Amino acid sequence: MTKLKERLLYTDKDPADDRSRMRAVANNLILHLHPTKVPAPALKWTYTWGLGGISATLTLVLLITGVLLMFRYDASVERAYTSIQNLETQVTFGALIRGLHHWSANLLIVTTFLHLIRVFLTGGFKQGRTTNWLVGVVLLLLVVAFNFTGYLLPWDQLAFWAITVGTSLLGYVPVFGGAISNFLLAGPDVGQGALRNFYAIHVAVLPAIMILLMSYHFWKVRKDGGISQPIPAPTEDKRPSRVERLTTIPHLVQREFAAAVVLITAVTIFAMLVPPPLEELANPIHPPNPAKAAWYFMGLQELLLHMHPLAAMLLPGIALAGIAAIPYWDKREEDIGVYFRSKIGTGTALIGAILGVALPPVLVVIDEYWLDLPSMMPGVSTLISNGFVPLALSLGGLAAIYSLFRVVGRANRGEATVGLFVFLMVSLVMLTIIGVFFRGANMALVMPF
Amino acid sequence: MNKYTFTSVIALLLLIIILPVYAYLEPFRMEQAQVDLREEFVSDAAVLYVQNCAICHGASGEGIGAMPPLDNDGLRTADYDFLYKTIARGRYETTMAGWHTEEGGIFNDYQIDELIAMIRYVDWPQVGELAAAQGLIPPTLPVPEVDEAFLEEVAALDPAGAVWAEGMQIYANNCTICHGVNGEGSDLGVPVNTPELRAEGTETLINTVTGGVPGTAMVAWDNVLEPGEIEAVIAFLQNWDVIEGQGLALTPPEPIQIDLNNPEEVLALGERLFTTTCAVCHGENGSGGTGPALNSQQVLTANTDEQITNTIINGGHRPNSTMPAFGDRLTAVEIGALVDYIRAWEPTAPVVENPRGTAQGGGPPWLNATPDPDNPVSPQGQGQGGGYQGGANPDFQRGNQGQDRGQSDQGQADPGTMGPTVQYTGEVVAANENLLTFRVADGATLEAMLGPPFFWSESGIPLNPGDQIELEGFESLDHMELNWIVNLTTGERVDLRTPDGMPVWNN
Repeated sequence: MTKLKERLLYTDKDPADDRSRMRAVANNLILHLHPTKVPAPALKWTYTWGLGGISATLTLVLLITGVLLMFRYDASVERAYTSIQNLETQVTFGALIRGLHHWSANLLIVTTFLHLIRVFLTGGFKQGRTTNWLVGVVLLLLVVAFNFTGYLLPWDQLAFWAITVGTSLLGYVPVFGGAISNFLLAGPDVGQGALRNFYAIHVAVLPAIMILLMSYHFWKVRKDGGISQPIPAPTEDKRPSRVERLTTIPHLVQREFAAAVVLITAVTIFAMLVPPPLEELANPIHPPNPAKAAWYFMGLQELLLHMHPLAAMLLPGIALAGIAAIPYWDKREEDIGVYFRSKIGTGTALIGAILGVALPPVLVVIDEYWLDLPSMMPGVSTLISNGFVPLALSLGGLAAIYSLFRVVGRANRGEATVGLFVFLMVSLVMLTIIGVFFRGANMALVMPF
Repeated sequence: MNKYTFTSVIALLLLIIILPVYAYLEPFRMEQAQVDLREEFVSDAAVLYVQNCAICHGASGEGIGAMPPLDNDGLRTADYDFLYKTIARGRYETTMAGWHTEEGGIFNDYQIDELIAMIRYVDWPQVGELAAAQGLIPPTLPVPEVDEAFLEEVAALDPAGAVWAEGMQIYANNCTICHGVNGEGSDLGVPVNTPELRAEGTETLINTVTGGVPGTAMVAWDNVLEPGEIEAVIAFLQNWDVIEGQGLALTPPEPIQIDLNNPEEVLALGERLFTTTCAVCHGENGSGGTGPALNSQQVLTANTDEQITNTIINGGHRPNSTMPAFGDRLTAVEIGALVDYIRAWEPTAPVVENPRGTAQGGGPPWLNATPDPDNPVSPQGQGQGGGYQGGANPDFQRGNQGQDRGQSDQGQADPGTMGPTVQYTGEVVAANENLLTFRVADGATLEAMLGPPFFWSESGIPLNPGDQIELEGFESLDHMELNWIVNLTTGERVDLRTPDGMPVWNN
């Protein structure tokens, strides 16, 4: 009986000792992405939250469901919308597969964003991990680009106007904006050309880049010596202490499998219960009111309501450049692998978070009802009064927060950066919440209930 | 088993259980999704119908004059190709135009599919309801009202006067749309109150009405009118000069009276005109669309009333603007009301980041070429705007004036068109679907409507030829409607209306 069970469960004998377990990892196509042994602290759930693995699993789900959707989707203005309706009403499991794809894609935006925050907070860009940090930032942008191009494909009102609003921003990018927008849309408006281009980018261009970059990202994690870990405290005899190392099988594989299965089950059940939205057929002459961009761009759209478009594009652009440049700024390597760097860092992060929750709503309300920069500066171009001035004020505010941490909080560079970073991320979340829930007809401030 | 293996097993188990359950329910879900989608199609199509088709086919698909009714089982069961081709390409020798964008119309494939779904599945009386609920009162063609006393005066003119009166009544109901209240003719129909016409032989005139005139809006009327009725119309036409000589003329329908000194009434007129004429491009409440958002602080500040008036009269001044000139289609009063309505937004108008419509700067670059200032690009007949500038337009405008007049559709008898209550006892001659033919004691054969077909097929009682019946009803627009009917032979009774006159199928 036991023999039969073994025959059913294992094709080969279960590796019984550590040595054969390590050999199993090294000789396996997929598992050899992992080292044969991993440090025990790196396995701690509360250190990584499994966000990288979850994002990778979601990407895999998206790849499979995406390929399935391609069998029934038709990227033409006349038939795109009806092909989705067909999928929903005529194709067995069609609605489920579309739901899985839709919700996984939205969840992926969240998990990659959280993954970036986790890696930053634990100093995961230190000790030679600069390149992989940059690749990670590019991957996050890729995920957003994936989501943005996929958003148009159902060709419903939501899709059409979100992309119209989104691409109209490109027009404000100096010099190249018009050309990029023209290239993407294959014309001045969102139409057949835009749909075809977005489809091609979504199913061919981006996946190719994504697969290459993801492979590099994983490979580089290993080559950089695994994920970031705190430097072990020296033992009493001044020799560096040895960190316990566990074999990948079963310790890491087990955790990864659990996370993946729970994730897939949860997303599947969610997709079964909550059908993905499909609004009316796109109608280029009847914009919905309000016409909102995709939810992850609502923070940016919120900025647009307060600043000249150029300033509203520059501010997140500068912030993004700053995030990419963090490894060149925070070079202290002693605090790698420690959440928030230190006690002081925890403090700056807390203050940053509080400021991030409080400041944006207050500023939004002030600007909405009282502050009117252009009328305060009569005769000045709005590019200055509504663009340069608020941009300078915002950047000045960020600098003030940073110096507050440095001077008053006596924080070092890294700790102050943690505070500023947390402030930026929480602000982004707050602006997104305001944009998604508190903006009604004509983008006026409303209560969501 | 450690906690990770345990979690994995639980999650897998859940997935293994839930997938078959979902698979079992999938056919039901798909069926429900199809039902929902069909309903969505029908309600979308109802809006299109009310905006574009109701003017000819009636608010509830009952047909107007010679325009065919759509609310019948023949069309419901017609095959897809027939319906698609009729809507997309129009019907030769009739006024039915091709509505597909490829035929110069305004509908795309998807919208035509929606209309077909509607013809097949819609509950027609609800279309009229929906129209009213959406504030889209379908423009109906104004028909002069003729009262009994007037007809009696006509009948008294001559021994054959009764026929003239009948013909005049039929003319008033069916022909004035194209041929005018006084037979003066219009864009759609030739003058008919002329010596030349009266000089034509009776035979020729009867043939023209019976067979129609190919290639014009004059359809063959033998489907709609009995031969006797056609003869009556011809008799009336031939003696119109006599009738006129006695000072008897049809009165055109009364336009809605608007007190121009009452700003609220003017604003209401402006709003109605804006909704029916401008909102297609400028968006609901001027929120913008193909055309610029007008409900915008910048636009309202930058333009004086005079400038807005000029734009409405002469059309858009930008090169490649698709804004047509409305000067010859709206009266000065109407344009004034529109300007007042637009101006009234100013206190509350939002600052719109970019009020320009999606159409500005659109199109291929060679259309955006530097304009010749002496010869501004005329947008007439271009793109979608062209669909609204076609031959149907004069009706649309006239329809606007008449749109608030009471209109009768099946099941909702308007008090103005309701005759006195009458009771009959008689014998069934035939009951064909919802049309009852019966003979009363003095030998006369009468017809009555047994409510809408869907109602009668569900709630009707058997009516076999020869059965004795008793019924109460009233004359509606052109047929008799019933309050109740009893089959004395079987003893069964059906009430079609409540004592206060509400049709029971409306509940």
